[in-house]
Amino acid sequence: MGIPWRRLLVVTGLLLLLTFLLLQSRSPDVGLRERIYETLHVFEVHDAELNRDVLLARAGLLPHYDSLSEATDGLYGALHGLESWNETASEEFSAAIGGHVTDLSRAVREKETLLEYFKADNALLRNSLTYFLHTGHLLSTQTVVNNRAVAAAIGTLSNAMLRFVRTPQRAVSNEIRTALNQMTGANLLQHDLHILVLHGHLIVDVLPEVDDLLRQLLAAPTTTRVRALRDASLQYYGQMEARAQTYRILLYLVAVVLLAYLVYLFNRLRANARDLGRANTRLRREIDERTRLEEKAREQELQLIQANKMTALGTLVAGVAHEINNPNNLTMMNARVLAEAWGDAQYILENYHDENGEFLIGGLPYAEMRETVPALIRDMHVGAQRIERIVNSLKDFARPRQQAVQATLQVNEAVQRALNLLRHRIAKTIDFQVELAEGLPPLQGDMQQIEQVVVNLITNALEALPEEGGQVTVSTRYNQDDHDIEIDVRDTGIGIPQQNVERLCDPFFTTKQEQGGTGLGLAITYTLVRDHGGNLVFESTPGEGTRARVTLPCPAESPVPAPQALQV
Amino acid sequence: MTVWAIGKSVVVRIALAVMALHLACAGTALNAETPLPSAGAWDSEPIVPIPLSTDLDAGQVALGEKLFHDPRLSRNNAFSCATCHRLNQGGGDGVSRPPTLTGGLHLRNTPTVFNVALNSRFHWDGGFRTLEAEAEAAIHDPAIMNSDWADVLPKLQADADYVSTFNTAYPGGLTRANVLHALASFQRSLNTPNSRFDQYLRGDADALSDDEKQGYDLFKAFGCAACHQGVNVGGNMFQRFGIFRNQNRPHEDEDAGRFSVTGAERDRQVFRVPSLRNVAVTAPYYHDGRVQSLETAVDLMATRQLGRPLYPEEIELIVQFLHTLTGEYQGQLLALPDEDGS
Ligand code: HEC
Ligand code: HEC
Repeated sequence: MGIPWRRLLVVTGLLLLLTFLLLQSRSPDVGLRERIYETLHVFEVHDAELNRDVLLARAGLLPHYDSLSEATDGLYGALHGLESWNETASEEFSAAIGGHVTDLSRAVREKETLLEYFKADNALLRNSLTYFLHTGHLLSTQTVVNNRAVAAAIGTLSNAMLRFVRTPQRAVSNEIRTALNQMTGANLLQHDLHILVLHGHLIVDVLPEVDDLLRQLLAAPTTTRVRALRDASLQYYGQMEARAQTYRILLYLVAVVLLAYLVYLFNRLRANARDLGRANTRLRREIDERTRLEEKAREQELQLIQANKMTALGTLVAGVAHEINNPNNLTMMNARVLAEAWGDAQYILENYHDENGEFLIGGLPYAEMRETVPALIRDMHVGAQRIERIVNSLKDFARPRQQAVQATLQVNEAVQRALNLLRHRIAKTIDFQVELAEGLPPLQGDMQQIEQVVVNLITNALEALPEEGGQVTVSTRYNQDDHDIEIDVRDTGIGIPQQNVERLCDPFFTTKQEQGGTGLGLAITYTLVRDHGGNLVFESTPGEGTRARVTLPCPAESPVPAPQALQV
Repeated sequence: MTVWAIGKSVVVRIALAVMALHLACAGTALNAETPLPSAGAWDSEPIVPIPLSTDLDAGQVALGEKLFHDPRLSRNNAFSCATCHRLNQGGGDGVSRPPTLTGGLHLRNTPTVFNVALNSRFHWDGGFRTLEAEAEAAIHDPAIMNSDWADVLPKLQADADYVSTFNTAYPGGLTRANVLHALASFQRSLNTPNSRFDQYLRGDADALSDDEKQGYDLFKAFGCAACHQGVNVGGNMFQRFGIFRNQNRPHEDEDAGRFSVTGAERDRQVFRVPSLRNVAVTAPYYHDGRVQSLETAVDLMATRQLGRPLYPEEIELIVQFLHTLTGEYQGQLLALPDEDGS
């Protein structure tokens, strides 16, 4: 299975989408918004100051114009802040706000132009008013003496001017102009009169202009522009926030989808892992089974080889035994006859010896032979007997066993009988233990053969023990797993080297040649066990001891003993 | 002390009664008994003293001073700012119109750079709102520095001293913006506080002589202070030069003034009302430097801007007052190098 590209693509895609949504769902720059509001506030404050100071200036209560310049600078400062943010901000921001900033900027410039005109005109107006009123008064007091008409004209003019200053009306301004023109015509020689006329004209010209400028200034669209800008940014940020909100919801949804997909993948993974685990266990079980079967097969093969070996040997032995036995019987019989013959002949020979002295018999002096010949005959007899025993054993081993007596038997009983047989051979110094399990299932088989098996094994064990002491344990038990009965014979003897353990059951294999072992005992035992469908296995640790285990299968229908019955 | 009766034997006292009636209308109240401004009461005065200190970065100011005197700001290293704006010449050049790099004469008189930062707009026509913009224009103006940044910056950057001082004075090091800022900083440091008149405004009644005080009173009473007002005694508004024109003598001026900036008809022959601070050391006068003596300048003002010719005594008093507007730069009263004659 290669890399799961499709799934990888889906997850990567979802992650990319998440990142995109995350970026989009950020709240609009609140800092910038705050700065804009702050700046607009500052702008409004300066604008208000400007309007206030313009009014103060018109009323003659502003000693100088510096505060107006400061207020204008304040407006420009705020404006520059807005303009620079507009330049650096996002396109969307510029699209939403930029136009309003431009509008505001234009409004400020227009207002500044108006302001400059107002400052200039207002200064002139202030001066001219001062001059007019002052000169007018001077003239009226001066001319009282010389010219009544002029004095009256000045009085009317001053009166009109006062009215005009209070409320500038076109009618009044016309009235003043006419009066001024009359004076110009009258007598301009008089210096002060000239001043009066000059400033009178200026007032009439400029005062309405100043008031007009004042009105324009106060009505300048800066306030509306600021409001529009604030509304626009409010709307912009509202929209941005709403959009961010939408993206946030989308973000949430995509996150949920991603999560669901991951959970789905995880579950699949887990299912796969479970399947894999199951397949694994099955596989392992199969492998175990197979190794077990293989082992069994090998065991069976070994057993088969062993059995074949036995059979071949048995056939051979059966044939040879007879051929040996006959001559051997002859030898034995002849040896007995010879012994009797020597006994009879000895009497004669004795006499002869006494009479004739020493003589040779069989190439040796009689005095010597007298002792030796009976021993020789005895040896002959003994040798023949030994041959007979071996041949009998061989016959025993090779005897074509009639199908064993298939009786139901209790293993423990067979063991007891074997123990009875051997009782006298078990030395007192030996620690002999018997542990028989109760309630063993009965077996089908030949009691005598089982008994012989146990006897052979115990005999072997006893022979393995050292001169003094040692322990032999005989035990039986039921093996639930394989449904068979085990008979163990353990000794704490010298043990058997590993290479010999495998050959123990081979015929003629013996380590006790000197003690007269034939090497057939265990071979026979093995054959007997095999005949019962069982097995015989040795385990040994040199120097510690050996355990022989006989396993005898229980018949399939035999009742399984209750567990507690297993306890010994 | 009477204000109005100085020239002719004009009866002033009666006039004052009338004036009192219309005080609300009068920008500058004419009061025979003009009280001395009490300490801290200069709020109601049309003129405000110059702050005694500025809070500028000394390193930037020093850098600006160096730049201001550095001819490398011009092409071929012909001019420095100080070529025309000489600090020992009242911050100007002492000539009516400075010669240009191209050989002619500049259109207008060089304004002083002293107290320049106290002006609300720069140049005679108010064409610039910030000192930085003005300096940028001066560097590019073919008649002034005739240069550009591609010429100036490499020259400055070749100077290791500049590079290191800029690096210590500005985070950004030697850049166009920082050069302009340094120049502006230096010019902002060129205030001349502590003139005798400012001392008077601050409450020192003895800082002015009686004549000078009378001159101030006339300055206010005649309405000079309607235009020349504020901390810089001008510099914060525009006015036509020649409000009351002599019908027989049409305006001889070629210079359209503020019209060249706004294009508005009403701005023809309109100029920035100049600051009268240090006016005694900034001759010649007016936008084209047409007048050499202060007396003439005042005289011309009265006829043209006020429509009322002054008597020589009045002029004298006003000029005396104008002399008290000379302030200190670095603790030294501004003076012309060869002032013995004037
Ligand atoms: C060739 C002589 C000359 C040089 C050099 C020169 N200026 Fe000027 N400067 C003038 C003139 C003339 C004006 C008035 C221009 C006008 O009003 O149209 C002026 C005006 C100014 C003003 C406005 C002053 C005010 O009160 O409005 C400033 C500020 C100024 N210059 C700074 C500088 C700086 C900074 C430099 C150097 C980069 C410089 N000048 C170099 C001649 C010069
Ligand atoms: C209506 C406004 C106004 C009034 C009133 C006014 N001036 Fe001026 N003053 C100006 C203007 C505008 C200029 C510059 C004219 C120009 O150069 O084109 C000026 C220039 C000056 C100058 C020359 C300054 C320089 O550095 O070039 C002096 C001195 C002066 N005025 C003194 C006075 C005095 C004294 C008074 C009162 C008698 C007075 N002014 C009244 C507007 C006014």
